[in-house]
Amino acid sequence: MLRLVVRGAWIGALVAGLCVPATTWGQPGETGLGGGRAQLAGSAITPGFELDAVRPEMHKWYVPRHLPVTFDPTWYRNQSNYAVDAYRYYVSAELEGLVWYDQLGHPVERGWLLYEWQQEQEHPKGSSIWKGDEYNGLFRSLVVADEGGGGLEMRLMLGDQLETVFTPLTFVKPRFNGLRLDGANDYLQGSLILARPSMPNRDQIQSSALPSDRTDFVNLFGGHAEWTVAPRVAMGATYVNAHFGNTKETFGSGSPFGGALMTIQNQNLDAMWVRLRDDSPEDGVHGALLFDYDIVLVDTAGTELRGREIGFLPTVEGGSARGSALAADGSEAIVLAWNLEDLDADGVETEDLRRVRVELSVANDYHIEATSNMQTDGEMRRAAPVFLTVKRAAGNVQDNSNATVIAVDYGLPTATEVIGLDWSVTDWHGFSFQGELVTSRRHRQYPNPGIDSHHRVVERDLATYGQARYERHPWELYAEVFSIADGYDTGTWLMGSFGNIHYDDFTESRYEFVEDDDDFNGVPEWDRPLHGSNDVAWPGLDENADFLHDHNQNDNLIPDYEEPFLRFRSDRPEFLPGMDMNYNGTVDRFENDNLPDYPYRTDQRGVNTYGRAFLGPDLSLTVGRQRIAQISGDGRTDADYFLARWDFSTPSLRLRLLEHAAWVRDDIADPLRMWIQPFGSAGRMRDVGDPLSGDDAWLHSSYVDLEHRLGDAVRFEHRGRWQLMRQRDGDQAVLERELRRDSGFRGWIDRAEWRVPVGLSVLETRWKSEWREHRPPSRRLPSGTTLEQMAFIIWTQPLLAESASVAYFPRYGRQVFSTELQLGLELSRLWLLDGQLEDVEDDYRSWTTVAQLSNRSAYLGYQLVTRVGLQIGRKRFDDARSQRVSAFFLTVHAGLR
Amino acid sequence: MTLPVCLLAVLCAVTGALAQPQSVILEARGYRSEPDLVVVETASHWRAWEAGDGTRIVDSVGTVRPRFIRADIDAVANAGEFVNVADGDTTIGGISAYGNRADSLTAAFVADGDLSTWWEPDTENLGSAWVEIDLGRTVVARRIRLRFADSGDPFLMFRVLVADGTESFGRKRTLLFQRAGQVAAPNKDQREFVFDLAPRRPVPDGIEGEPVQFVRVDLLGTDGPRAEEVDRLAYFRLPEQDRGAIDYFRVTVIGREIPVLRESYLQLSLEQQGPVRYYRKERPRLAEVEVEALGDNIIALTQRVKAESGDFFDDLVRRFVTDGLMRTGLTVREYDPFRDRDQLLIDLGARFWLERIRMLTDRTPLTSYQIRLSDGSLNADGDFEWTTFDEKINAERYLEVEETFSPQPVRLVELRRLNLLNDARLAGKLSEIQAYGRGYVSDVILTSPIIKFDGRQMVTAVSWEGEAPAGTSLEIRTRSGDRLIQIPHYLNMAGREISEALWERLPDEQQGPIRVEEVPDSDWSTWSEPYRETGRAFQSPSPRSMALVQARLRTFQPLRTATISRLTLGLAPPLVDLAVAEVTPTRSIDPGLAREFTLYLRLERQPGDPGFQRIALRSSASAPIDVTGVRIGSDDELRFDQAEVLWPGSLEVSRLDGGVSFELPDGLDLSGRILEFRFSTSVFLPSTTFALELINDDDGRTQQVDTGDATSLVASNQLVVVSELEGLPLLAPVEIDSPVFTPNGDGVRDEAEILITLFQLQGQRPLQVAIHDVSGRRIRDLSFTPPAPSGQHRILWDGYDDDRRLVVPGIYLLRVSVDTDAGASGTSAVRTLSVVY
Repeated sequence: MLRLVVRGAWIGALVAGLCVPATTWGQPGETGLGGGRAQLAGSAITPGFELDAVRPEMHKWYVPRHLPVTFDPTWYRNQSNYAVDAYRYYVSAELEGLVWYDQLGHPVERGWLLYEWQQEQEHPKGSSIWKGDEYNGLFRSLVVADEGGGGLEMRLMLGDQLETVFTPLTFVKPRFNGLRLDGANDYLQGSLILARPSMPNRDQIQSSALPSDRTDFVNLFGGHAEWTVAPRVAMGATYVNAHFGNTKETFGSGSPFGGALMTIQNQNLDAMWVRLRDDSPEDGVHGALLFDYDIVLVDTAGTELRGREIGFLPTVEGGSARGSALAADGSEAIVLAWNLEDLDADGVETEDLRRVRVELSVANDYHIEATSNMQTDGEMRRAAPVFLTVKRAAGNVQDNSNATVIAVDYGLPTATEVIGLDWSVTDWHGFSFQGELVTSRRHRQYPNPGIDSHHRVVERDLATYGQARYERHPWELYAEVFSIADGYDTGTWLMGSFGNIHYDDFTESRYEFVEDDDDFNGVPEWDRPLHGSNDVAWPGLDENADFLHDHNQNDNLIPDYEEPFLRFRSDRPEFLPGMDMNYNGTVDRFENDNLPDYPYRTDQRGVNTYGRAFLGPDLSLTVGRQRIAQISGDGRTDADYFLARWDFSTPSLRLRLLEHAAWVRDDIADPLRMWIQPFGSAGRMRDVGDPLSGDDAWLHSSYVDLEHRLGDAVRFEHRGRWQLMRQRDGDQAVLERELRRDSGFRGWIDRAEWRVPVGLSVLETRWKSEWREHRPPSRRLPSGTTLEQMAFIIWTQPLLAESASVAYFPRYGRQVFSTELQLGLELSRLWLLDGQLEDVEDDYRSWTTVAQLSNRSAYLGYQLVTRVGLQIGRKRFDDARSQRVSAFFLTVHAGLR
Repeated sequence: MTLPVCLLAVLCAVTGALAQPQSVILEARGYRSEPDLVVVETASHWRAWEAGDGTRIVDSVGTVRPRFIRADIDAVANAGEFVNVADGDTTIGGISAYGNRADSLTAAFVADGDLSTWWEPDTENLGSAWVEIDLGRTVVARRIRLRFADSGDPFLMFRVLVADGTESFGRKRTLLFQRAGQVAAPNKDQREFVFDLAPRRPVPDGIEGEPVQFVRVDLLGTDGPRAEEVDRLAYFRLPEQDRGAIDYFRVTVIGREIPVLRESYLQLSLEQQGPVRYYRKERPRLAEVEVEALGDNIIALTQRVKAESGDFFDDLVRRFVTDGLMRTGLTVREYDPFRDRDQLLIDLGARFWLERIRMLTDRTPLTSYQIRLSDGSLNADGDFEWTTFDEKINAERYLEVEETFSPQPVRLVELRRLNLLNDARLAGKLSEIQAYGRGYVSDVILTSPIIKFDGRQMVTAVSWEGEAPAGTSLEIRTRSGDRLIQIPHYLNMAGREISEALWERLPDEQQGPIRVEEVPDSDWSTWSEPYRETGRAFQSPSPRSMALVQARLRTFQPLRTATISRLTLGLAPPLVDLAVAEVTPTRSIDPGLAREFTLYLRLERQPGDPGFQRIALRSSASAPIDVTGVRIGSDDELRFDQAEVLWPGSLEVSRLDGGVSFELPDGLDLSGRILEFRFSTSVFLPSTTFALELINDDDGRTQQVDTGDATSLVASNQLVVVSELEGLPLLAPVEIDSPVFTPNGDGVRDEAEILITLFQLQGQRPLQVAIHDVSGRRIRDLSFTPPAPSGQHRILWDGYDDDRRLVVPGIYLLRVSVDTDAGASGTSAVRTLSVVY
């Protein structure tokens, strides 16, 4: 029945959806022919009625009730007698749902209305999305329909969390809320998507009896098609559009591509501001130069008026005179304010304007922003205008060579489009290539409630990249080039409850086509309204995919490498190897930011090439070069690097070596938002700045680990990492930047484990030595060196072995008994060899002991694991301070083993 | 006349200033007007200038300097500067209470900084022999020092109590004092006592001092009339009030001395009469109480005024934690990192040299927090550049925590209350956040009130008196205009601004005053370039009826500062009442090509205007101005070619540096007529400004001509023309006047003349010009750096190479290039030259 309901509507809905808002969505429920309570008329052409009821009588009459249809009580009572016709157990006909009709009046099916998206124009609150209780409950917010034939397979999915990926630059949403249709045959495949991002799940925050009716809405549609041109060669095209709409407008107004102004935004402008400031304020000089300015007003009749000619001049605040120009350096800003409310020239008032353009003759390192009284922070009282960037100068020009006239054609946002092409060649004679070319178009319109056809403005920005690889053993060549404009944008605004947009709130008011999901867990890291999100992310540090940080597996407030016993197997993240190719001090695979997950950062263009030689199955050498430049500034990242990797293993030994060295000139800041797990407190996300320690430096990073065994019972492991950043600048320059000449991390870990079976018992002895030296790049942060020696003894004694069932516990490879008593002792000694560290104050020695009784037993199909025990510990510092800790625990876990 | 004005007039009469009542009224506006001068010189003038709260100090003689933020201060010395309004009462720092009403005058001597004055309690009633000092704000005090007057006695026994301002509960709320020190053994000699104040509450290591707002000194013991025994002669030499007791003694047979009354003593036999002892009366005199504190709390200095003015009603937390008072405080909201909000942001109003942030509370402190500092600089995104300190955990729940750092200029302090210990319900109260440092405020901007002239006036020069030693700077900027926008602010009875609609709905008795704010209208100029030297000509448009002046005192070293004490604007009547001009065309100007422009000048004279003899026309372009015609007439006469031709004719035209000068014929009637100047010139920059000046040769005065509607023939209303340079190469095709030349010294074609034309470039930009032979070897470098790169540059090549050898005949390559920041295309060219003999 579900299948019928969905099939009856989806093709029409999809076709119609591409014309949003020019058509009416879905199929109406209560407004359908016959209404929800009509019954199927069997084979009759028209709905049946009781002919006997047609009588020339004056009194009120009622159609006899058909009990089998419904047992709903009526307000009147008929005499009933079941002496002849036996009374039966009648159930509600609504248990099977209601009867629904399509637009043509045909009955669709008896069943439930799962999902209905309607858009009726022209009247208020014409856009509504209904998600029935069954959709959210029985179907868990996901329905799937399929169709196929003639080599074509199609599948329709409607859900709240559909993983949807087109291309990295166009559409990547791990939790797309809407409708998706996929189709494929042998050489062509494609996807179409439809959604209303504004309040798609209102039913979750209000009573499900209320549909999410909206007058102003944001609709999204798009698709991706891929054509297999030849074996291993594919071409793709993507189009995604999110546009504003307004159901008060007529059916033909607006455009599904350019959108329409929302009700609250389509008001006459009272004031308009344009701000110029220094695009590189950090240098404090040579900012924006403004030579001249004027406003051009175009009324609804097409008459063009220049502000200077009619004496309509702005008030100018800020900046300072420099020759015949006005300059804004450093933190200064020039603000031009036009009070349109006072406009009354040649009979033209603000109500008569169809277009407003501000012309600015500017040069050097300018950053132009604009706003109006309709572009605010969304507050109902004392709304503050919010400036949004219009244009930024490329580079950090100081000689006037980029002098130009910028026309700020003002408008409020109405739509965002992304149009892209992608291609790939896979292993064609060792050559592979893939790339993408995308333009983002942002539509804006000048508001005026008195006219139907608004002046439209479109801004375009380009993003592209290409990656090529040539492999012919033992050689490998790789190159990647990219350019992502600063203004490249794949997001749209969402309106608030009252149809207003909070332009200053990127958290609550943005809908991104490309989500920020650096840890690939399917949950975006930024908070968006009515979309699942989680700020917490630790990319690369959940390699076992258990949704717990690898270094805090027991999910408490203490990192595992600081916890007794656990620290034997857990090492600090500083010991983990990896490449840091943006030179911000964090290994790239562990980086988390708050930006859309484009493959490269915006406002940058560059190239990265390397050649690799395989000198054997386990050894490779790589030499490469990267050149990255900021587009709107003069920042750059230049690096020449070398990478060596050796992975050698025998049955009893494994040795791995990684060496990364680079000559770096990097002054592009790459700030991050990283997971910090401090000792003794809750882990949290924290903004981590880029110290720009690679401005002119040598980078060296080595990693080695060695694992070997003595028989089956004794294992050794050694691990070391050395990361060094050496500044090449002069002493004075390094001092002024508050950097250390040499900074980085050095650490070495030795670990040994010896497990001795003693009858049914097991004695485990362990030893771990950790030496580490931290020297942060910033002189403001302390540096220090520590050495810690740890010894562990664990005794495991099975109890009730003869009466309990046994099971194999694969981790240890030997019998694990149902009930065990475990005793553990850990002894530790730490020396703070020099300096100071954030987590170490003084030398100390500590001991910790644990007694634990554990039991495993079956219960209701689950395996219960019950543990009870006591842990006691003491840490004694050399300055006579001491800390005592003790913990009693009793835990029960149920698993599906 | 209103009552305040009457009082002011009376005051003026007393001070002898009544002779100039007008100027007295203007004093409150921040300047004094004279017929040909505007003067800013007195302390009241400078105090009327706008600056960040607590950022400047104006001394009594009218010298303004940035405030010096002190370390290790005596908090008593400036207690009187702090005024607190609470519970309907206004208190001023100083003596806040005393035990004996008779001490109402003398008690203040312990806080006047003068060791020669003192407070002497009444020793007859020890219970009321105490004095209480209110420091006006909560300071972090290290120690308290008591100095007793040399001319009296130290207190025999006393104690010192301190309170941070918190009070007891209950109906009668009293300050909770703690004992800071006590002298319980009789003290006769020591006249200076120092009591160290160690933190009494849990604080981390390294935190010194104790929050103190009130200090109380109690006299506990006295010798009263028997301070010191003196001999009889000395006794009677003492002033009457210093004479103490006289004790009489009877001597027993065993030698005991028993005090007796004088009457009894006199009746004793000589053998029984013992000694008579004379005493000096004790004069316990406390000269000074000093509270040695960490320093000036910059946050309290800069935020308190706002708090008192009621602007902080919408943010009680910020008001309470920045008011300098420990007794007020609230729970700080937890920082929301997702939305980057709910942090406590404090704008100090200027850059201060800071080195320490301290946070105080009386209970349930912040258990985790983070401090960020910014000097107000912006980054490319328009956000402040922050110095972010590590997140700090206060697991021990210390009531005072501190963040110290190397001295740095700071304008913004941000506190983020974190919740790293998951104890949101138990913590987070903050009583005070304090900032300490040392040095002069690094950047103070003083902005004058709107200076209103007596009608439209020409400002001839800007002069000032001040000092700017090395490491500091003093900059003056000006702007001028004619119109003001008046913005009414509707206030309620509490002085809080409300909407006009709400104000009108209020009953009359609840309506507050309407405060009208005047701001410059759109006709005002922008701020001028800084005046580097005193006495410079006014840089803003003139004549105007109003002006604004800004003085910026900057220091780049904490212990050096610039000062300003006097500023004057020279005034003169305008040469003509009105002079406006406009030029056409203003758009689509082809760069580099000679283009004819027409400039219209309209003048209106009033009787008595001094007038002028010459008009100077200048251009910001480097190309010369070639005059093609000058006419005068009405709009219609100009339109129908009926205007009087002045040039060629009676007008004299001469060249000026960067322009031309027109000397008007005598007797030319200008009023109400329009002068039309036709000239041709080339433009090389994106915008070129033409400037007209009217010059009176009699006194050398110059009046700038304004842009405006000079004629109905055109509607540009401006003197700026904009070139369409976009898309054009910055380097025009290189021209060579004689590509084939013979450098043989015969005077004919001995040199090659190279003409290079550059557009839109500004600044020092080297022009690469080199001669290469056909093999590509450079033989002559003719590169140079022109002062203004845009324009036409002529270079001569005499046929010699860099070694001053004549090159051999042949074909040579000329390479011209210029580097640009934008990496623009079309910035290089290659031409050939032929040398023949």
